[in-house]
Order: sequence, then structure tokens, then C-alpha cells
Amino acid sequence: MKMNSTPTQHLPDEALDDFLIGISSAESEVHLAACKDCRDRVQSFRSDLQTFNQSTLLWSESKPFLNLRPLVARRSFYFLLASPRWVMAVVFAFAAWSSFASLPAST
Amino acid sequence: MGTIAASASLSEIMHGEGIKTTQGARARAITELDDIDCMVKTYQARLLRFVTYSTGDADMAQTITQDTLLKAYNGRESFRGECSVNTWLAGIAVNVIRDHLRTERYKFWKKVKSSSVDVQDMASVLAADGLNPEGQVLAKEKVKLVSAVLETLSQKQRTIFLLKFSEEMSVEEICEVLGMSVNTVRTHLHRALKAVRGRLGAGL
Repeated sequence: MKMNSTPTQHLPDEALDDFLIGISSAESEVHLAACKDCRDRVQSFRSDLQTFNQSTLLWSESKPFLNLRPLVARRSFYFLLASPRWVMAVVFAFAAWSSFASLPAST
Repeated sequence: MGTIAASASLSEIMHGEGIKTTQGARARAITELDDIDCMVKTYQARLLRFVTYSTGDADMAQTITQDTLLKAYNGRESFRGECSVNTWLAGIAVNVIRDHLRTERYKFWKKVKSSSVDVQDMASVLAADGLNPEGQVLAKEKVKLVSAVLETLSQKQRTIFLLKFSEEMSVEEICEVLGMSVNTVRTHLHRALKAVRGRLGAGL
């Protein structure tokens, strides 16, 4: 990112964005280390975002917890019913029982 | 959802430390994820915040959060411990949000009504948290300002901005979660930042 290193000229917005995104150039980082104004601009943005993040997290923490246990239990029951192994076992057991039951008593 | 880049560095992995850390993190997380109630208590708040602001719809966010947690619980065996559980959940949430936004029912209701986050609701939470009156006013104003500007962004820009600055994910993690190139993610981030900075005015 092109930048003027004289004290009166600060990092352009794009260079500050790159820094906030975490992809800044070494040149920008050197400037930030030396320039209080630019550091203050970064700090101000981070502080605003921190306030937003903390406040919105407090808001979502104030919401009641979801009760997912009944949904999980119901899903497990249906899964058990739909499980191919269970279906195969039931079919096999029924087939075995019916074939034994149909055999003549004398044999 | 795509795989998420391992957080352990290459040198750590080469020396075996990364693998141990990853396996340890996975074991701890699997234990946490095995209990649905524990999972809800630990991760619901952060997930709900992300989904609420990503969709801009507080009502739909409840449904999406529920679907995401259920999906995560049912697929917990697939969690490999290469990223934090929050990052993994955000990745699942992104896909659930995408599915919801595609449905015709959502498109219909979006036209009929919009239930964005109630700032008064937010204010009462801040007041209850014991902030001094000046702090409450300031926090409320900041939240209002950032919320308003987030609503003006496209859904993609908003999601990427939140993943970066609220969920604290790296650009690489965001690329994995959204299946986008680094350049696309950077472009969206630049546009979103420009808009937010512009609105925050005196700040950046």
C-alpha cells in the first residue's frame, strides 16, 4: 500500500482497512508504530466494535435457553425405527417365525 | 460445509505438538458436544448473536439457531478439533441461513413483515447490566449505529463482517466456511469496513 511517511500525512483509509483485516504491509505497521493519530483511529474503531460485540452478546445472553432435548429424543426414536439394521432384523425375525409356524407338526 | 484450516502452525504440526493440541481440543469439545443441554448453554448466546445480525431478523434467528445446534449435535462426530467450536458452529449456521433465505416461505414473510432487533429490548438489557447512565447511552448509541449500518450492507458483506469482527475468524477461516476466494472475502470486507467507518464518522 502506497503511503507517505511524513508526519503530517497519515495512512490512507485502505491501508487502515488492511490493518484491521489483518493483511497490512510492513510499511503500514512501521507507520502505525510511529504515528499516534493513526493508532488512535484504529483504537477508536476497535473500541466501537467492542462495545457493539459486548452489548449484543449481553442481549443474546438474556434470551432463554432453547430446550432441544425433546427434539433430540424424538429424532433418536425415529432414527431407530428407520435404521436399516433394525428393519432387516425385524423382517428376518418375522420371516423365521412364519416359516417355523407354517411347518407341519409331524415333521 | 468445507473443512476449516487447521489453527496449529506447520512447525507445531511437524513437531507433533499441533497434532496433540488438535486431538486434545477435539476430545474436550466432543465431551462438551455430547450433552445437548451443555452445548446449548455454552454456545447458544454467541450463535444467536451472529445469526440475528447476519439475517437482520430476530424471529428467524431463533429458528436458525435451533436448527444449527441440532445439526451440530447430530454431526458432532465430524468435528475434528482443527478450529474452535464457535468457528465450527458459525460455519454450520452460515449454511442453515443460506437454506432458510432460499425458501419461498421466507421470501413471502420477508415481504409481509420484518422483525429486526429491537433497540429498546437491547437498552433494557444494558440497563440491567449495571452500566452507569452515561455508559448506557453511549453503548446504546454505538449499537444503534452499527446495527443500522449493518442493515444497509448486502447479506454477504454483513456475514463476512460479523465473522471477522464479532466471531474473530481469520480471512482464511472465512474463505473455508463460505467457500469463497481470499480476494472475494477481502473485497467484501473492504466494502463493509468502508460503510461502517463512514457511519461511525468521527472514529475511523
